[in-house]
Formats: sequence, structure tokens, C-alpha cells
Amino acid sequence: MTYSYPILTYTIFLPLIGAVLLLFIDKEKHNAIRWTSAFFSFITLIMTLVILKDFDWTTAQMQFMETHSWIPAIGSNYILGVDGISVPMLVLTSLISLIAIVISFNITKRVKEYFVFFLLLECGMIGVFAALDFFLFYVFWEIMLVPMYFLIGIWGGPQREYAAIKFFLYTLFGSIFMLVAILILYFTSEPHTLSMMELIQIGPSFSHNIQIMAFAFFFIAFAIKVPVWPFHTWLPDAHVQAPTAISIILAAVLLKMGTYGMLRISWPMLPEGIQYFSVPIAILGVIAIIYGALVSLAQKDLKKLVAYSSVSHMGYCMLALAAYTSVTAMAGCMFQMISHGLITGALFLLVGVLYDRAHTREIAAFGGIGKKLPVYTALMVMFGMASLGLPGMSGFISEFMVFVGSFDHFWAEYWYIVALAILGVVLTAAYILRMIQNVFLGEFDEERWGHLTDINIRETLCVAPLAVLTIIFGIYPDPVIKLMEASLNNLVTLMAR
Amino acid sequence: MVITVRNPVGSVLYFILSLLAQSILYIQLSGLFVAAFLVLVYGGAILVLFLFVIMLLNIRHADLGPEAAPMIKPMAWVFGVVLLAEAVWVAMGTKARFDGVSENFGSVPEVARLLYGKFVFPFELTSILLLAAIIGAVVIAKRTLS
Amino acid sequence: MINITPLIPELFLLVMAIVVLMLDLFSSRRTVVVPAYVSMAAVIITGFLVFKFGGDAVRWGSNAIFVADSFSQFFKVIILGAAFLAIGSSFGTADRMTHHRGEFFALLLFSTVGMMFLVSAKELILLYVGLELTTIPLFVLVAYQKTNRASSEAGLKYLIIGAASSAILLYGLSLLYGYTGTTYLNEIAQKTAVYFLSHGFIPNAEGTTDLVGMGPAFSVALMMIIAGLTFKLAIVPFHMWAPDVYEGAPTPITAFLSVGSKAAGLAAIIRIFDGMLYAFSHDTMPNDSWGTMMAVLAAVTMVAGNIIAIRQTNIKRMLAYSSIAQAGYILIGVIAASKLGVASCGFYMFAYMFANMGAFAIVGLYAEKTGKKNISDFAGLSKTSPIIAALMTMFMLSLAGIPPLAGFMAKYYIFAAAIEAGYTWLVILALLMSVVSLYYYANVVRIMYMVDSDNKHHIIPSFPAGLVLALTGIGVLLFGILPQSILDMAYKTASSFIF
Repeated sequence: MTYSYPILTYTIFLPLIGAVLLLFIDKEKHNAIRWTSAFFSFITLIMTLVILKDFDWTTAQMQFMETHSWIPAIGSNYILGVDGISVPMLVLTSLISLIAIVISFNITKRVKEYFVFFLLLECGMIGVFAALDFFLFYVFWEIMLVPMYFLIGIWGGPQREYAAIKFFLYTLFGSIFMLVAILILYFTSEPHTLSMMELIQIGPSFSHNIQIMAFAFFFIAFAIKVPVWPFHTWLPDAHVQAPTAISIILAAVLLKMGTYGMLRISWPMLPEGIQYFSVPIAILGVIAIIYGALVSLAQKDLKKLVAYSSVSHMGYCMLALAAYTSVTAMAGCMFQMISHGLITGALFLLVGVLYDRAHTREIAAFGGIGKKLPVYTALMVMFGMASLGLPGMSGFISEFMVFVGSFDHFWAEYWYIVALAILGVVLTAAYILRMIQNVFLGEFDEERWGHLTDINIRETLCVAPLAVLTIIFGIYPDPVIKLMEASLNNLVTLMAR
Repeated sequence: MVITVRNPVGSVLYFILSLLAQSILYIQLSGLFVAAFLVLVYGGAILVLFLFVIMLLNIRHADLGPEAAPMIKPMAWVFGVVLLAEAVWVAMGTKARFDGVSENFGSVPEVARLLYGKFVFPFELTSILLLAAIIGAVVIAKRTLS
Repeated sequence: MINITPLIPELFLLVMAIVVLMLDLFSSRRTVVVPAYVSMAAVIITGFLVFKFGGDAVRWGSNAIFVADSFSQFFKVIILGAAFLAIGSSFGTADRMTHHRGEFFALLLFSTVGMMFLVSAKELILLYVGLELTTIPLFVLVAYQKTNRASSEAGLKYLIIGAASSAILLYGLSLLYGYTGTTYLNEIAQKTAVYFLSHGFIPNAEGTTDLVGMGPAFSVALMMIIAGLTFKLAIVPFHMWAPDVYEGAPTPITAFLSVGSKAAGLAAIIRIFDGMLYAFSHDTMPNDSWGTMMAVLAAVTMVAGNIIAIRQTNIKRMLAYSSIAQAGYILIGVIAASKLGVASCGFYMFAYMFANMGAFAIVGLYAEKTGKKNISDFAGLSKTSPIIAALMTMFMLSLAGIPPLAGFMAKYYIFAAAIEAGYTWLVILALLMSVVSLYYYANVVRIMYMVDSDNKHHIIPSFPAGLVLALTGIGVLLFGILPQSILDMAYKTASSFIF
């Protein structure tokens, strides 16, 4: 499907136009600013939905391609395009962005700057998922960091400045390895090219050493973003210190960029790399699952608990990614990315709602608030259940697919790695149930929490789409899987080269 | 000796000595004009001017202040010796032949030919350089009227 | 008859410098505006002349003395740009001077002329005189605020160290002359190349070829030239003067020093090493003799510059160390010794000009308004002057190399050149150091945006200062997103080099 107009370009730069427009609004007119940014974000969502509607899921070809010469001096072109891997991510990004913008309506500090940075961030995020040129990809990848730095650093919690710079430096540290890898691939390819599609075609012809080295460099960059276990230390700081909306974005979109990068770039482009590193990656994934779950179990802070649960959940993605011969595993990874985006996004949102009212997130401080806030509790319990993989929710489908796929791949040897990962499911259940029990059940401290009010309409409206999607995908995942199937089949063939 | 002597007048006198030695080198290369020039302009004019200025300033011994950091002297010796060793190494190691200089090296016409021929641009540029330096000197040295 | 048309831009600027000088003498109104605007106009016209009279060379016999090739044109544009921006941001500084305002601009123009000669010189003596013409007015400009102790101290320090480094350079050049018997760069290049071709490359014990094969005089000459020129670029270990001089000098002069004089010194280094000594570049023979030496210098410079910069509290000192580190990055392009390397040096300098001139313009503006020079004094700037703060953020991020700003493009290009030349380790180190540098650049941003203060200073730039900020801001953004035209130009500059 092609349009007479470049729809991807419009989708990417619409938020940017919104940000520029915001600059001309008087900074005291908070509502105008809020609604303008919500409007632009909404239009972006509509655009991605149009892309979704017209997307041809029967083919693995890149669609809506746009190719323009950009900087020939360095071999970079402006190439955009989407396939079954990026379309779900685009929709997820624009949906989560809109929700995050609406949930940020309660921001009163420096409103204008906040929404300007937010729209810039959205522009960068969508760009990453649509870019098919390495240079362009890298530019979008880095562009996001700057607004993110400000958003955490200005509107975050008490240790915001530390968390912001840590996030910035950590991610940049990862990016430099990506940059070196990109340059190495550029100069290895003949003729020199930065187009991802071309490099995927010729990738396997590179020498073993080049493939291994470039793969390792890419892996560091993406693993920091995911974050894979030893590289995860920025995540608790950033998630906990960030304002609610940004935690949502971090969990639901930014973490996915790591796994997206692997699916889009290093896995198909450097098949010898993934074949070589498959088992270590599976081990790292399992460590992340178990470690994340155990640390979550020990958390006293509600937001930290959700943050570490992200580490654990992204571990499933890594495990699935290691099983590179299985389409089911790849689909499980993608599905886990989507459902983790929905569920953890919602959990951060709900934690933020409670924090706004109670001004604390300490699990031990609460107890029995289930009676006082029934709607809130229902939502929280629902997403808790989704997170621990209750059948009927999207989390179950994705975890199931991950396990089936990775057992399929690792059955002959190393099956025990996957078996160990199942332990993670039990631990997840443990920390979620413990959290629910301590916060919502038990004795209610009327004196302290008597003033709490239930979740309001705006907030409910924000959670609602996430809840609906979680349940729909849990019951009827077929459309999503169909959407990705062709691309994932192609991906697995590419990796088998 | 120029920089080790603490009396500035002494420094200048030693400087003249080293210039005289340098002019002898030129004479050995049969560059009489250059040698004479060196003595006249440098030794005669410029350094005498130096001497005047220094004497006018009338610096007393106490004004010179205490010795600089104690490490300076030994370090200067070390670097000096290293530099000397390097110079010797260069002189010994270079196998380049010395063809001698051309017949009329240093003669007045030859110098003129070089200055107004081959090197006319650097030469003219030097005049601009001097102009800039004069302006600079005026700017720095002139007392502010206020 | 010698054809002097290629010299017209330089001659024009010289005449204008003298006109500016005279103007001050004859104008009855003791105002800063007239000489400053005349100087700015002169710089712009010179820029046009540079393009109009480009392409040819001034020759003596068959040897070029002064070339107006695309390489020198490109660097002249950078130098003139730096001069233009420095004059533009000098209005405030010059206005507060009680004396010699006209001379200030005249000296700046003289120094600019010197730089233009430096980048065009193809002959050692002209190169040296150009260098002197560059630095002597700068000595004076640095010490211009006579009543300010720091300024005087900086001037004296710059004078002594500058003179010493010139002496070392001159010694190196004379050794080179003594060895080859000519002062023309192209003849020196021929003679060294012929030497290598006739004697073959003499491998030493490690199997690499080194310059010792040509006798120690040559290596000593090269070392002295490297030392003398890297003084100008403030490459570690020849950087000690930079922080004090940068701090003490009037801010526009600091900016000019850090961009213009660096560009000119860089051009000279490229001419001598990548241009003249192409015999040692990796196509003819491994460039590991001077290449490795320079690579180590670049590495040490980046590490030292960036790490010391973190600890600075004075913003000018911080920028001084940052510019030391930036010189280290640029040196990578020289070491790459390829067409891409030369092009990337040019583009880096071009991008660096915008970001650095802009940052110093803001620092100068802020110091003029508030008299404060510490990084912590910038607290709350995002509230009182949001546009200035946003621009400063852009400059800082551009210097740190964050896309889509020009600084990123420049770094990318340099690193591409180095990877192509096989210096992967240097690139990884440089990238690590750019992560380190982000820490202190982001610190400025953090203080402007995240630290509250009761700062009430609303900074309103005057027209010329506003023009400078607008130009640099646009430059940083535009050449980050659409760098193609400049990259093309930069790549063309490399055509005058044989690789």
C-alpha cells in the first residue's frame, strides 16, 4: 500500500510540529498547552492506526517505504519503512504517548517546557521504529535521550538529577558501541552502505570475526536499553525518580527499543553472531528473570517493585530472542514486548495515581485500602494478575509462547535453562500477590488514609484502553500474531543463513 | 649566561657576547655582510637600546624578588643537558654532506636578491607584523588617561 | 611578473585593518559602533573575495609560495567566520573599554590576516611569518584589559609560551631546511619522497619503518614542528597555557583564540603532515612513525582535557579544557591521513566554530550583565532567559556530540575517517571520552534548568550579540540536519592533497 503522501514522515514529525507550536503559546495558559499536545498526540495515534489499517500483513516486505538522499557524503539516506515488527511498536508508542500525555495533565510545574519535551520525545521514539537507515536510526535513538534527560531531571523525584544524568550517560555509553559497530559495518560492506535492508542482505557474507565483533557491540548498546541483567542498574533509578508519565514511557516504549533493535538489526544482519551467542544470551535472560523477580520480592517501594518486575519481564524477551530458530519464540518475544508495554505501563500509571494521593509509595505504609478505593483496587489487581501471567490476559499468551518457542529451540540440550526460567513465573506470582496482599488487603488505617479518593475519570480513561487491550489480546491474540507472522517467518529464515 | 645572571645589565652584555660569537660563525661562512649586519644592528643598535631602557627603569636588586621555585634550576639543567645530547646525536647521526655555500653567500646583492625576490612576501608581511607589534606596544604601554 | 591576484582577499583585509585604525583617529564620536561595524563588513567582503579569487597560487618560479586552493578557502571561511562572530560579540566588551577601541578591532583583523596567510602558505618562511602575525596581535588582545590582573597575567603567559613555542617551531623548520635545502613544501615533499623511493623503506627491528632511517635530524625536526604547532592547538602536553589564558582574556578574544587560531594551526599541521609528508601516509608506507606519535598525543589530550574539565567551576576554564579535548578529537582526523580525514578535520572545525563561538558569546554576555563567571551562577537561567538557556543547551550538546546537532555530525565524520584508516581503538577511546564530556556539558544544562535560584538577571542581548547568537544557533542546528553542502565542500578541500 502506498500513499500519495509520505505518511511515515508525517507521523514522525507531527509531534515535532506540535512542540514548535507549543513554543508560541503563552506559558501561563496551561490548559491550552495541555490540550494542544494531547491533540497532536491524538492525531499521531490516528495516523499510526491508519498505517495499521492499510498494512498488508501477508508479506514480509517493508511497506510505506520512503527513500530520499540525505547526506550522500557519508552514504546516509533518509529511508523509512515499516514491517510486521515495527507496526505494532508504532501503534503502541503512539497509544502510550497519548495516555502519558493525558495522565500528565496534573503537572503544574513548568507546564509548557514539559509538553514541549514530551512531544520531542514522541518524535524520537516513533522515528526509531520507522528508520531503516543506520545513521537515521542512530540520530533518532540519541534524540530521545535529550528530552528524556530533561523530563526526568526537572519533573522527577527527589534524586532526579542523579537519575537523569545516570540514564543519559549509561545509554550514551551503550550507543557509542553501536556507533562503532555501524561504522565497522559501513566500511566492511562493498559498496559502502548504511541501509539496514541492504546490510541485512549482505550481512552473512562478512567474515566471522567482523560478525561476532559487530554483534557484540550492538548487543551492548541494545542490552543497556532493554536492560539485560548486568546492564540494568540505571533502570531502578530512572524509573523510580521519573514522573509517572515518563515511567510509563520508559517501561512501555524505551525498553522495547532494545529488543526491537535486536530483532531489526543485529539478529537478522549478523546471523553468525546470534548463532554464536545464543546460549549466553539465554542464560542472561534467565538470570534477568530470576534476579528481577527476587529483587522485586524484596522491594519496599511500590514503584521499585514494578521497575524490577520490568527487568524480570524483559528477561523473557531475551530468552525468546536466544531461541533464534523458532518462529513461536520470536512471536512470543514480540507479544511479550506489547503486553509488557500495556501491563507495566498501566502498573506505573496506577502506582502514580496512588502516589499523587498518598504521597508515599511504601508498601508497608498501606493496608486494606481495597475497601476505600474499590475501582482502583480492581484495576490494580487485574493488572497484577496480567503481570503474573494469569490465563485470559495477554501476559499469559506471551509467556506461554516464549516457553513453547524456547523449549522448542533448546530441547536437545540446555533445556534446563528454560526450565529454570519457569521458576521465574512462580516468583512473579509471589511478589505480585504479596504486594496485593499488603497494599489492598489487611487492616485499614482510617486515620491516615481516610482522605484517599478513588481513581478519577481522567485517570480511568487512561487506564481503560490498556485494560481492554490486555484482555482482548489475552482472549483473542490471533490478529496481532497474524500481523507479525510474515515478518517473523522471514526473520527466522534470515537468521538460519 | 644571559638568563642565569640576575643583574639585567649583565644579561644584556652577555647577550652581546653571544651575538658576537654568532657573527664569527657567519664570517667563517664568508658571509661578511650578514656578520657585520648582525653586529651593527643587533649588537650595536638594539641591545644598546635594551641597555638604555634597563638603566632607565633603574631596577634595584631588591626589586627582582626572590628566586623562583627551587626545582626550576636543577630541572633546567636536566633539560639543557638532554637538549645538548640531542643536538650531538643529531650532528653525529646525520650523514648529510655539507656542500658549502654558494660563492656569493651573504654578499649584499645576494641578500637583496633574496629579500626582494624569492622571499618578498614574507618580507613584506614582516612589515605588517612590525606595525601590529607597534600598535600592540602602544596599547599595552600607554597610560590610561582618566 | 608575479601574479598576486590570489592575495587580494588578504590585501583587502589588511587595508581595512589600517582603515579601521585610521577611522578611530578621525572619528569625533568616541563610539565603538563605527569601527566594529566596519570590521564586520570588511570580514564579510573578504569572505566573498576569498571565493572570487580562489583556485590560483602565487608562485616563485615553479614553486607555489601561497596557494588559494579549496582547502585554504574552506579554512579561511572558518577563520573569517570566527572573526566575524568574535567582533559581533565584542561590542559589549569594547564598549566598557576606556581606551584604544579602534585598535582592538584593527589588531583582531591583523591577526585574522596572519591566520589567512598561515593556512595558505606553501613555503616555510611565509608560514612562520604568518604564524607570528597571528599570535603577536593576540598577545596584545589577550592582555587588553590592562586594569584586570588576570588579563595581564594571561597576556604575559601567552607571550612567553607563545614565543617559546615559536622558537621551537622555527628550530624545527630550520632543521628541515638544513636537511632538504629548500623551504618550499612541495620540494621538501619531493625530496623526502625521492629519498624513500631510492633508499627503500628501512624496516627496523619491529618490522615497521621509521624516520630514523633518514637520520635523526629529520625526526628531531618533525618532533619540534609537532611540538611548536601543537602548542597553538593546545594539545597535551603543550596545553598548560590554555586554561589561564582563556580565563584571563576578554571573552570574545578567548572565543577567537579557541576557534580561529586553532583552525589556522590545524591547517598548518594538515599542510605539513598530511600534505607535505604524504610520503609517510599509509598508502606509500605505514604512517606509524608520526601517526602513532600523534595518535598517542590525541589520546592523551582527549583523556586529560575531558577529565580535568569535569572538575572546573569557572565556566571559561571548563570551556578551555573542553576545547583542549576537542583539539584531541580533531587530531584524529589528521592522523587518519586520508581524504576523508582532511575533510573531517575541516568539517569538525566548521561545526566547532558555531558551537564554541556561541557558547563563549553567551558566557561573555552573562558576565557583562552580572559579572559572574562560575558555572553555578547560571542557575535559574532557563526561567529568566529561556531562549539564551535553550541556545546554551544546544551549544553544549553540540560540543558533546548529541544528534541532530552539528557537533555530532562532525564527530561522526571524524570517527568514520579514523575507522577507515584502521584506528578503531582510538575511536572507542574517543567515544568513551565523549561520554565523559557529556557529564560536564550536561552539568551546565542541569544548572540552568534544574537548579532553582533567586537569579533575576534577564539577559537581553544587544543587536550584534543577538545576531551572533542567532547565526551560531542556526548553524549548529542546520549543519547538523543538512550538512551535505558543507561536507561536499570539506571533501573537495582534500583534493589538493595526494593520498
